[in-house]
Amino acid sequence: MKKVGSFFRKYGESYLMLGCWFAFFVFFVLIPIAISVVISLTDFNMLQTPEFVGPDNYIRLILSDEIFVKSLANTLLFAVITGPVGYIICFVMAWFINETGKYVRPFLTFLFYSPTLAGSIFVMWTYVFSDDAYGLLNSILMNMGITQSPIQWLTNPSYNFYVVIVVILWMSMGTSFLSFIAGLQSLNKSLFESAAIDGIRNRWQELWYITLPQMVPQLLIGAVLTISSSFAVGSVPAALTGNPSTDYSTHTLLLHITDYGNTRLELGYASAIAVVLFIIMVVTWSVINKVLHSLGKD
Amino acid sequence: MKKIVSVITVILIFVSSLFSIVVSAETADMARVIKESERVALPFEITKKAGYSISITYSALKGRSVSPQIAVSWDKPHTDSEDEIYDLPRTWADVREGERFKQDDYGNELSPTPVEKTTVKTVVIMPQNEAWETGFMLEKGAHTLYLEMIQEEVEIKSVAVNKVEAFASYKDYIKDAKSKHSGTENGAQTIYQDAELLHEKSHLEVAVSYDRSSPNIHPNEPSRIRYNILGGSSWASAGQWVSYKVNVDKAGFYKLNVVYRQRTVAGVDVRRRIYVDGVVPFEEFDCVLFPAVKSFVPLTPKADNGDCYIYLDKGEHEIKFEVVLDSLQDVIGRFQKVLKDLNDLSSRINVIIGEGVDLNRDYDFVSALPELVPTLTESVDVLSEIIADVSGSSDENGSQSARLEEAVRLFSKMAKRPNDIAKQIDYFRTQLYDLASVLSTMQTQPIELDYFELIPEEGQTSVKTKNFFSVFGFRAKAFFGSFVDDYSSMNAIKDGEDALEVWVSLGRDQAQVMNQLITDGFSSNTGIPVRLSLVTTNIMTAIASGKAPDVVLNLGSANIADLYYRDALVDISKMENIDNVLKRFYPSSLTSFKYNGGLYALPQTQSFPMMFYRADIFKANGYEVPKTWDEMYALLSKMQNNGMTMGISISEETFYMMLLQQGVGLYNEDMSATNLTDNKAVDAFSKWTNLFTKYGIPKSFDATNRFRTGQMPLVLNDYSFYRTLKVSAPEIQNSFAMAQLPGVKTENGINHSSHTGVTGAVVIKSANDDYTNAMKFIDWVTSDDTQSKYSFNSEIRVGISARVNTANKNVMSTISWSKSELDAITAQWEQAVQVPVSPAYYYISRNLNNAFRRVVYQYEKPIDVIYRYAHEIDAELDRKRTELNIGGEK
Repeated sequence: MKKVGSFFRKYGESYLMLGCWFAFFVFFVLIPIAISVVISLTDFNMLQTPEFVGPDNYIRLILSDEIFVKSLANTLLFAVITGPVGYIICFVMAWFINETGKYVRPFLTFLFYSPTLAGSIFVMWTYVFSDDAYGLLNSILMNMGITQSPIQWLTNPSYNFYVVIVVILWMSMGTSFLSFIAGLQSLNKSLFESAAIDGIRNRWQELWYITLPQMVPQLLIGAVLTISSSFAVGSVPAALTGNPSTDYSTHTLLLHITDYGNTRLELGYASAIAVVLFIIMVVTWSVINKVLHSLGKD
Repeated sequence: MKKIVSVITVILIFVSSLFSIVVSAETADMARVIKESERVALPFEITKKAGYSISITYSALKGRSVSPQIAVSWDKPHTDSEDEIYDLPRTWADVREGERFKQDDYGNELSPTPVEKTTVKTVVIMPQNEAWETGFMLEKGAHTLYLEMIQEEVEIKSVAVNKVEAFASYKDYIKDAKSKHSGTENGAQTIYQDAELLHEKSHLEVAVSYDRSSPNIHPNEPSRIRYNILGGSSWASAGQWVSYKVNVDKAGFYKLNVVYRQRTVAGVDVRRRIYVDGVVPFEEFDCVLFPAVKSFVPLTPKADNGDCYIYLDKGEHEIKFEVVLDSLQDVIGRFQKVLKDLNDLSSRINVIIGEGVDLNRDYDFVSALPELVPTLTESVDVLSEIIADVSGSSDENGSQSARLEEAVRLFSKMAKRPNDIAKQIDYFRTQLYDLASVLSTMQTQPIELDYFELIPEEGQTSVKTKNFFSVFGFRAKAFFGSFVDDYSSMNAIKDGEDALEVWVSLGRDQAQVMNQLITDGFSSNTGIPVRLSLVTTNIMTAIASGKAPDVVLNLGSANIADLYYRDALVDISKMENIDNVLKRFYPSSLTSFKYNGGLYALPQTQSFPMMFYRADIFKANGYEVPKTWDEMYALLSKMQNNGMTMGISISEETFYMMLLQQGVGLYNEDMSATNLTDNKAVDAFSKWTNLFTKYGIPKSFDATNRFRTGQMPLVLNDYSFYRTLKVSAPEIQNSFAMAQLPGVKTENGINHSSHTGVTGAVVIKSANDDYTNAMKFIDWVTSDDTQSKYSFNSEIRVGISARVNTANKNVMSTISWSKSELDAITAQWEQAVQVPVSPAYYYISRNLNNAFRRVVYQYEKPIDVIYRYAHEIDAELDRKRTELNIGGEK
């Protein structure tokens, strides 16, 4: 008993401060995930009492839901294309901007970050890609004589996937971009000097052996953010191509969840999809974590 | 500036015998009712060539809330010339409680309800064109005056024709008055009159409103609503008037001090004619100009060298403000003509160009349209004159002239280089819109009045302007008040109290109207307190979390179906008196509310598509209004030859229309599967897709804009499109019409049916099983009386954009539709059919869209496509029925 008392005298304050965030974590992250797992084992239509059905939802999800397979494929495609490409663009841009002077840098940072800052400003792309003959892209193409009639950029499944990718890449300068800039700012200058003396031959070697290993925490944060955002793609295709899109051409897992949760009112099934998405994200993150920690090690 | 020479006044009617006109006995005093579209011819003997005005003394018969309109023409019956049509306004008064308006539980004033007064009024009719000043010029001899009621009916008491005489100038008036009266009595006080406390008004839309921005607007409270101003954009068209009764204690000379604001139309002086006791006392009051100002300022009408005084003896006097266009009428007339010519020209250019412009082609406009260059040159001349006319007082900061100059620049460029017109055609069309909107701004004369005073000679204004600190304090109180006030609940019944909980998602104004009706018409009669809340959250989540209300209003049929399939609604088919209640609706509106032998909602609103067409374009091109789809297709090819097309939505509603007109429902008898693989359904599907493939109708378009420009003179759209056009396209107000949808010929006539969307009022299931009060409430909400009051009050409060599309068939005829509009709507309504809502409703529209796009974008065969998607839909429907245990064990 005495031991406990002295323990609290010693560490009490720290635990109190920790406790706040721990409570938040428990109530808003852990418990919802747990509830979601439980609901995913039931048949729940939101109004009537849920009925326990065991793994039925998962079985149906994997064996008979074609749209799930399609949306999983779309999500992975979006993640593979926009994730790494966006991540690399982010880093390269941050690297470039870091080279500019101290007056230009904040301005450029603001400029590149602004699409994310402005939230759902991406809906302005619906004007660019409007289906009407008076839509920006259509009218330009028609005026130049390249096309004769308006192209349905957003509803024709042959085009809308690419449109969504373009818009997501345009928005990829997110929080990770800011953390990269911060990371580049906090590099230890003396290391560069000693590396130069030790015989670094070019900027690439400098980047690989000096810059990147110092930036692992920021890169890690950036990776986590990029993964979660590229797996959580949903609002962009929904706003641009409609929900659901033509023949589910831009349907993602997140949209599949909202489709079952909000439209079809099958919360058990929607939770099952969410759980699957959660597992995929955790697995991907641990792989990326390993890769990033091996940076700069031959 | 032209001098105002003459205008005839009301008083002349009683002394008309003094004039040199012989009025035949039966016309001077006819006292007979003229019905809508009835025509009367009155013979007059004119003894001297002169300009004449016509005075009509009438009393409007109680009817709908629209103003009666009459067409007046000399020696030939009215054709379709718009400047022959005049309003014979009704007389309205606002109901007040004591001095001011009724207040709600929080101390906010409620907007007053207007009531119609049957009084005899006289309207003086002058030409609405360049002869606005001189009157109708009549030669000596026999003439016939034709009167035709365009809208509503009135009782005409007498008609008099009077010679137009000049007004007395202020100088003469004051000289005459000074010689007759001894001056102002001692102790004369300034008389104050709030503008919102009016005596009578001519039009419903001239209404009170509130401005809480400053304590200098009288009266005001920081965080409570006080209806403290009158007018605004709704008091702007010629002929609308407002009158006040003021009590004068001491006879004498008073000057008028009007506190007003005009910030609706930037930089434009607005015009008002001021009557004192029914007479314009002198020419300076004939057309008083109120310059544009951003905040409320006082204005006293001036004569040559100082303020105008009027003599008022002891007793009650009437001051009346009327909107007049005066000299603007001439400008507007010329403007209208030039705009019409340009619009005609534009449609002839469209014929040559066709739907899309080919910039590389030489269209050779000059030889194809010989009138092109002359029309453009003439329009440049006329518009330049108009610029000169308005750039004086009526357009101070030149915003209108700048827009006109832009058009002039374009037209002169086009006239100089007609071969480049193809490049500018889009800009040309935009300029035509813009001209139309300049024209409609020119016709509007909006003003807001705060109060006016009658100040005696050597008197002072009775109102002190608040200083900076009290304005600051007022604003601070209003700001902090906004944290305390509850905006979502409409009345002050506390949470714990036992009241009927009603949720509604409407505009705040409509909710307030509803709340007022509930307090006056429901709670006071039944003793059941009702807590009405404005809620936009999903009702589903509210029920899941146990916070559900008792009643939800205006819920869409898909939401309602989601709820009853999940056993969350109360079956109201056992309600008291249900058979009589259901007589209010067309059976079509109940389809989706019935399930398993029960009834789960009462319809509130119902919408369905109608055919909108541009009567002017139809007339100019000799088109007939199509009644069947065969006529539609024939008309479409004619239109396409003339560079126009039709607007039909690609939405699944168009498919439902095709399907229903084939006589097939979407689902089979027990709703266990769709009928999409039926031959007739496949046929309907091909017809739907053919419109956009074979017939080349645009797949996406802005209906309002293309309808305005005449690029799409025919549009199929929901009948609420009418409201949109009324509000946003003033220039085509009188040139569009509504008709029934095109149909399919059958043995029993033409089948015009279409799908109809319904919203309804539902009772939510709760733990205590007593739903009597809730049922009483939804019965009351959908009743004839409530619905007609609700639609009337929301329309006067919010304007035509809030016109209610009621589901109650008895109420529709009380709404301000014209007779022809009402006939068209009723005919379509009777044939409307509702596609039932299955538990897999979302899957239908989604897959129909996918199927449509496969055919239209990827050119697959309709029959293959519809079979494939029909299979998917049926599978989902099957799954959903099993999930929700519908139709017994499978």
